[in-house]
Amino acid sequence: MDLFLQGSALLFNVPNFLYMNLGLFLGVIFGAIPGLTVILCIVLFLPFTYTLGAVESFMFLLGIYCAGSYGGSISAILIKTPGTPHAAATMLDGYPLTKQGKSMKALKMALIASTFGGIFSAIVLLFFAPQVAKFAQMMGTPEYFLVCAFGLTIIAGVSGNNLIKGIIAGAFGLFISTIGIDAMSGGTRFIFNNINLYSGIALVISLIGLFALSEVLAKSEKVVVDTKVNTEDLNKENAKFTQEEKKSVRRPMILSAIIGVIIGIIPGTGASMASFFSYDRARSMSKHPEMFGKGSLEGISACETANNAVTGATLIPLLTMGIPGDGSVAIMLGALMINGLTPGPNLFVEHGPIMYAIMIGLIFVNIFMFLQGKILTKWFAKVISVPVYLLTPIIVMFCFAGAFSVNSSLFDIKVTLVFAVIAYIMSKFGFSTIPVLLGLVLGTLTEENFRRSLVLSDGKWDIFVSSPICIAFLSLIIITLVLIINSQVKNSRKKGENNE
Amino acid sequence: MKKLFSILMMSIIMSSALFANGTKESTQSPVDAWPEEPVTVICPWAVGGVADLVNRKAAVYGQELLGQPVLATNELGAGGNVALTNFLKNEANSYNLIFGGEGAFSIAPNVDGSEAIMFKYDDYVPVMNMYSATFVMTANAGLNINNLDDLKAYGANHTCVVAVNGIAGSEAFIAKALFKELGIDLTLVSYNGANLALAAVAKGETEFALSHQSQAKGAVEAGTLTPVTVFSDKPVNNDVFKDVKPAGEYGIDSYFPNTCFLLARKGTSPEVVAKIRSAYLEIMQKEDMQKLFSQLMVESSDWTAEDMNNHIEHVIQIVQNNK
Amino acid sequence: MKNFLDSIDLFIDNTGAKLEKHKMNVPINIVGSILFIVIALVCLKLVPSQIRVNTTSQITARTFPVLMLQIVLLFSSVLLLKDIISLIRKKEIERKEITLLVEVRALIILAMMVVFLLLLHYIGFIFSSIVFGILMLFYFRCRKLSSYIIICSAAIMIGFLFQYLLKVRLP
Repeated sequence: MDLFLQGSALLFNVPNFLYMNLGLFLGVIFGAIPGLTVILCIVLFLPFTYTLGAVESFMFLLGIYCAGSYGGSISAILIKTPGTPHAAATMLDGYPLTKQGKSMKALKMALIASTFGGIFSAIVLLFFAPQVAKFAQMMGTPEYFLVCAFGLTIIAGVSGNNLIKGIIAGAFGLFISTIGIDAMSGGTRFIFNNINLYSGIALVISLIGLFALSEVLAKSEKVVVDTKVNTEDLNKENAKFTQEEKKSVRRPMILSAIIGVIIGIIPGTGASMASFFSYDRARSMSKHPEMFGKGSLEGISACETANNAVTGATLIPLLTMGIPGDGSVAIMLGALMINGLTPGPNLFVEHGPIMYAIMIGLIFVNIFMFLQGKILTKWFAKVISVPVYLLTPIIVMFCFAGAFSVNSSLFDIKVTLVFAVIAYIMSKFGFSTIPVLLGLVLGTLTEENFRRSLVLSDGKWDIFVSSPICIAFLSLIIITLVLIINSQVKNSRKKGENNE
Repeated sequence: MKKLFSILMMSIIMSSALFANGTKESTQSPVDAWPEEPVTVICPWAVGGVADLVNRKAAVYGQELLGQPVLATNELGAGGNVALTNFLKNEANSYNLIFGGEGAFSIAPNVDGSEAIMFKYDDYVPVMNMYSATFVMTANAGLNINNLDDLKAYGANHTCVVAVNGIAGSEAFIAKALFKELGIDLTLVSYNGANLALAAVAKGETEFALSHQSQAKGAVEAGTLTPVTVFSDKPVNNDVFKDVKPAGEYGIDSYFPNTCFLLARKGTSPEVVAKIRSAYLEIMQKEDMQKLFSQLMVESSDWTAEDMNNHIEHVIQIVQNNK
Repeated sequence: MKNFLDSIDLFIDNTGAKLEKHKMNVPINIVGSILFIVIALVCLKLVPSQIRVNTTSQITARTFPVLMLQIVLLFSSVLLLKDIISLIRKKEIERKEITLLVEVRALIILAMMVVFLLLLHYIGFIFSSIVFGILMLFYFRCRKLSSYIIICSAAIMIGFLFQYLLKVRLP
């Protein structure tokens, strides 16, 4: 309790809140612009924090981190281009809502869900960090592999109406993820002696191509007449949630928050996996699974809660054990180090007040994110009133600039164009591109943990049943697979009957 | 608010200066006038890492000691190799300088994937070594292994499992060389980052890990890991690593520190190199530079160009012997 | 000037009308699966040269990518077989109408993006964006001068936003 008060005293200073809000503002913008990522934002602005104190710099960085996690949903909903990889699942339901003229509602849902997820994880961090850290300690390499393998079963849920095509697309994505240097052997794979492919293809780069630019190519489908949305219509849109809607999102939000926290403590998995996971869970538990993909508020609430619930959770292994869960948090490690704080079990003993200030601060970061988001979404929503012929070239400009900025490399723009063409051709032949993204997200992790497990066990496969957590995940995978096969068989029978 | 505004203004000014300079190739300028424009020092590794922190802190003194502002930037990709490749576009006496180390010049050209490496050490002129970081081997505290004698006894009839950051990283080669000299069997397990490797030891998934001292600091302080040896010829004795015996004391010499060379483009005149070198050597002696070094647990170094060349050669030898 | 533009439009419309007649009813699963089979086979062929392995252990750097390619190959073949069997049994298979006009348009958009990319090598981000923006507006047959002004200022604003406010480096 004493630490709690000392922490609060450290936190409640005007500069802390100023930097927090500046971070939030930057985070939303970087998150919303396709190609500009949270990591990039943190990388670019980290040097600022070198002159700040520990709490100030952490408020600034957490502002970027949380708002970036939310910001990606804005472009996913409005222009069918996820601003960050973890908003890809949000796009599945967000964009259909925009087409139905309910973009304000979708944006509002995303903001509420993000805030809820963020606050939930901040509270977990504040009160249960030691317990969660203990749980994380129990998860080793084989457990990580099984979580990823479970993640791959989601492919079935995002395959559209054809599972076989989904599997092909997913395996293709997994294959692409192996391009570059192989962490386990040190050798290179499919780099064709090109140094630019040495570290593989960055997720953002493929994302821009797969979703944003391929959508631009698809503009060839029809001569675009002035499809201007009337701003008045936008203002008239009734963005109030009905009682029924409120009730329907309650369960997916709570479940997704828990999923987000669990995924968040596993290093390397990150928010994209969490959002796909909870999307899949929410659908299988929903009363209206048929609405998923056609504009389900439950879908949006699930993904957005989950990807923001990751934010607080990733801080748990970082602060308690010094393990950064994702790229952005790895950079925050630098911010701690320069202030003389070494993450690890002793951090809370030696720097208790600062730690409490940071943890309590995270709750306020989310509250201010909500307030800023409320103001900003009104502005962002106007995007859809821009006519297509103006919006399209502007999107391409943003995408090119974003793709370039990841590594300051024109080569990356070429890569996005290749992905755009691949996605365009795939969609022509009825292949969903979401499994490709899922494969790219999970590929490296799945393979690395699989091979590392076998190195650790000296090639013995029983390592995958060596702990209760392993067995739990393994059974989950088996149950899920049985359910998928079962529903496939049922579907094909139904089709057979219809044909006859 | 004032502070904030001034920071924003600074950043705008700095970035505009950066863009004015970034793309322009320097022309052959009179050596004593060098630098006539701001100098850019490129760190090819992650923002927030040791090299980046040192680069940015040192850049603050650029104006004072070189007469022009020094801009610290990062250019990432392929473990630094992309930036080193792109750097070849610079001409001699360019205002762009870059960091590099044994990873790029000794390891990358001698392991798989070397075909993609387009640069050689000879394409650069070493100016100075920014710092040396001594690697440390730690063990799970439950094993109660506190020096190489304990390790020898433990490994006599036991294959040791060692976690490293990347199978083709410095740590992996040092580990292989050490166990070879000790005659102990080892299984190397590669993790995606030193922090994860250390965490694996703490969990008991592996037995040992090699890392920088600063990376192992937290776990050693907390008592979950114990230091076994440092890869140096002098013992390390500080608040965290108390009286750790060096590998050198056991007659082992196949190790090396992690270094960060400041490099100029080949052909840069010796006077310019000397000018940068003396400026940076002076910067390294500044009080807050030294404080940063002790925080990051790295040592400043006054290596000559010859020392640096020897270091690169020495590491190449170790890599080739332990492929 | 207006007449000239109109005559261009007329020409494009006529060509478009001609192209629009070229339609194909493509059996998408068959073509799609053949495409993936070819990709998988080519990549499998490239594996020995692109992934070098010098250990004898069971699981190597090749295992995972090869397994993935095999999955692509296997399931593409299943997809192909399924449709071929349906064809033989004279059952309906999934088809999609592909119009030459649409594909030519997609190629034009792609070409414009490639031009954008090539220009980036020489004239920097802002000018390339302006050229690209104008090309795109032309493609969408926009005649309003105001739109051209908007697109040019958007290019300039994005350039400045990135470089000076967000501190992102641009070509």
